[in-house]
Amino acid sequence: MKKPVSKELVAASSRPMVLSILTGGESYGYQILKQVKLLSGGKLEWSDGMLYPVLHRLERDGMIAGRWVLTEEGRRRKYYRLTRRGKRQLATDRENWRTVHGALELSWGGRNV
Amino acid sequence: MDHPAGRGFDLDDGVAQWRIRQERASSLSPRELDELEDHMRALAALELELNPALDPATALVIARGQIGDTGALSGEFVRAGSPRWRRLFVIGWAMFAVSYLLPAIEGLGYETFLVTLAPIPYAPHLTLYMLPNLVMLMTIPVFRGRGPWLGGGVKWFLGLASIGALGAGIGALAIGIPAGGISWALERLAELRIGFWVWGASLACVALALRLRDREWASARVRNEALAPGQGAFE
Repeated sequence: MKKPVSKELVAASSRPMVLSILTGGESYGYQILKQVKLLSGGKLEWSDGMLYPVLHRLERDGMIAGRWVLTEEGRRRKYYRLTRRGKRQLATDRENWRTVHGALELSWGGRNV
Repeated sequence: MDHPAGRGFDLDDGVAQWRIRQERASSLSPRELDELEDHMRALAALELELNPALDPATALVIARGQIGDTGALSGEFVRAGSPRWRRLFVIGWAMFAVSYLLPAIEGLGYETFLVTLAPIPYAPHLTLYMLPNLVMLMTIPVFRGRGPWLGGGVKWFLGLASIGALGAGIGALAIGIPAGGISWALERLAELRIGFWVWGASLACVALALRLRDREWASARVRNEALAPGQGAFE
C-alpha cells in the first residue's frame, strides 16, 4: 500500500489546490474537501478542520472572497469564490508547479523510479 | 436527507452541546464555529447515509474526530490572522491607555484626563474631554466579541470627537491662538503635548475599528438564497 503524500507537500499544495477548485465556481468547505479527495483519488489527506484556517488565510490575503448563505435547513454556510488577485496567484502557482514537475520528470528521464 | 423520526433530534442535540462546549472552552469565533458546525453536520450525515444502522451519536463522534482537536484549530485560526478591525481596536485601546501616562498639556500628564472624568461646574468646557473618555468605556464589551454599549452611535461619536480634537490641535499649531484666547480650553491648545495627540489618535483608531467591524459583520450576514440543486452537503 502506498504511503500518503507528506504533510509538508500537502501544505505546500493547499493554496493552488483550493484556488484551482474555485475556478469551477463558488463553493464551501465541505464541498472543496470532497473535491480534493476526488481529484487526488484519496491520496491527499487533508484534515477536515484544518481546511478552514487555509480558507481564512486566503480570504485575508484577498485571493478568495466569502459570503454567508442560509441553507434549505436554515443553517449558515459560507461560500467562497475566486477573486482577481486569486486568479493571478493561481497563474503564478501553476507556472511554478509546472516548472518543478517538469524538472523532476526530466531528472527521472521518464523512468519509473 | 431524511432521517427516521427522532434521529435528527439526537444529532441536533449533540451538535448543540458540542457548540456550547466550544463557545465556552475555545477561542473560536461564532462565525468560525458556524463553518465547523456546518462541516461536522455534513460529515455526520454522510456517515449515516453510508451506514444506516449507525446511531446518530456514533456518527457525530466520528464526525468530531474528523474535524480534529478544536484547541489546535484555534491556534491555526489565530495564525491565519486576526481580523484587521480587531488589531486596530487593540492598538486604539493601547494608545488610549498610554496617553494617560504621557504629558498632555504643559506640565500636566494623566491628571489632565483623570480630572475630566468628573464634571467641573466652573469649567464646563472640560466636558468636551470627558465625554469621549466615557464613550471609550462603552466599547469595552467589544473585547469579548459583543457590540458596544449604546450601539452603533458610539463609533460616530468617537470619530467626530477625534476629528474635533485633532482638528483643533492642528488648527492651533497652524494658525496659532490669538493673544488673550477666547477660553481656557483654546489657550491650552497652544500647549499640547504628545499625550493629547496619542489620545486623539486612539479615538480615531477605535472609531475606525468599529466601522470595519460593522462592515465585516455585515458581510457575515446571511443571504436567504435558494441554493441550486447539488449545492447542499446533504444531497
